[in-house]
Amino acid sequence: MLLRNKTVLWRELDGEAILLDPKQGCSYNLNQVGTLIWKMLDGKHTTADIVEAICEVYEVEPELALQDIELLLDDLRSNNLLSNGVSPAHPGE
Amino acid sequence: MLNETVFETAFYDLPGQLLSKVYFFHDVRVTCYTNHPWVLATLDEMLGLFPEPAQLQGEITYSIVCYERDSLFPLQLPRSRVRTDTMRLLTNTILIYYRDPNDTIEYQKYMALPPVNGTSLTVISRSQNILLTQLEMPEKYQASFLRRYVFLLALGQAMGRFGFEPCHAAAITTPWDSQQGALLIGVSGSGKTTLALGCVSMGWGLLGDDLVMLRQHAAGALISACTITHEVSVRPDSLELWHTLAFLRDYPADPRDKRYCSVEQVRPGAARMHTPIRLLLFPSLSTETTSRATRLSKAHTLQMLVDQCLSKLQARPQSQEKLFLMLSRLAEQAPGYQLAIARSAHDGPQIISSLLAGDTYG
Repeated sequence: MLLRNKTVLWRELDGEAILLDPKQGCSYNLNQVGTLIWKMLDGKHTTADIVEAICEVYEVEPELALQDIELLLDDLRSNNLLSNGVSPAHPGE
Repeated sequence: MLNETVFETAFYDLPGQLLSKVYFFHDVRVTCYTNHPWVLATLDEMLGLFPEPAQLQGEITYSIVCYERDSLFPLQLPRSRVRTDTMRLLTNTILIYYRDPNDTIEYQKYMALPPVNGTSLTVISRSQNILLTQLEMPEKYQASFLRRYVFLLALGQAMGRFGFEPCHAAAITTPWDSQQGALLIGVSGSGKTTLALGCVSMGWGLLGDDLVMLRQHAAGALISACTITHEVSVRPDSLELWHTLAFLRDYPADPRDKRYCSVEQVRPGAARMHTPIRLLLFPSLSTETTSRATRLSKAHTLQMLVDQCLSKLQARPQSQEKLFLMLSRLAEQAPGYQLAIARSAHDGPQIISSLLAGDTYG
């Protein structure tokens, strides 16, 4: 299961999320797809769940959705925006 | 543990007679003590404009004590401390923020880098509304520096206890309604002071040209901009742009070539105390011949607010969360625009009028 870093402050405005990492003083802007993914990083959803949710909302192939999700997760991980100690989930978990 | 008794040690063997005076800073009573008459005269200029409020929200005790040299300061930085931020201010002047490991006391220390300034150390108790600034003799400082970067930063920090959040921005109100306020947010040199002073020249009200405070007075109320000082600082290029500032040419300039005066000198009746924020502007200077406003999404507006207003000064997580929440509400409360200011800047006030009237751009 995937979980966002609980110390990160965030707010969704008109479907786009703004994230603030208080420790680094850095802010991030997520588009609507990124925001959908971010909101599902609640410790209750797998990557497969997120792929399914994106394919429901947007007309996109699962493979492409998965590719986008993994890119974003890598970004989030490298910026310490994902919670430590939670193993990255994979499709089929 | 810092308490009143510890603060009182600052007054043992005090050089000079102790003077006191009561001021009001919005709805907070500020009782000031000092051993130097010049300090009281300066505080009169800074705080004398604020009327006594109908309802008082709280009190602050602010002591400003002057010594021959900084080694005589009774309160020094503790051995165990956390450095939270460093700011380079005027030429050769550095401000360093510290806190104690228990997060009960904040320190604002100005490095002594001659010949510009002496040294000062401000000590702020988080648990009590007490603050103390220790100065080497004020003659060593420029008056504008002490007002803007020592006294007001200390008071602004202490006002956080009463819901005020200092914000690096200019704030103006329309000529037709002082409840229609715009916040101009940007780094130094982005044009916010130039534009704000141009608006004042054309009949607008001014709350501050560089630093104001944000406050949501009650749950559900609109977030307001509140004045922190009615002193304005003017760059040489603004003197050329706005004829109402021409009188400042004869005024002495500081090392950054800025001249200082009160907003009432720019235009009598222009000073405002607080106003609800209806418009958020992020100015930048452009080389175009006409100014241009571009609408931002709410999320982009919030990100720009966060980038400009939320620094490591709010190092405590609770403070960061509080300010982030306030900025989120502000992004929902008022539309945000990037404003590319033309060389002449003369069309800026008209564009801001149109935006406040609800005309669409971008």
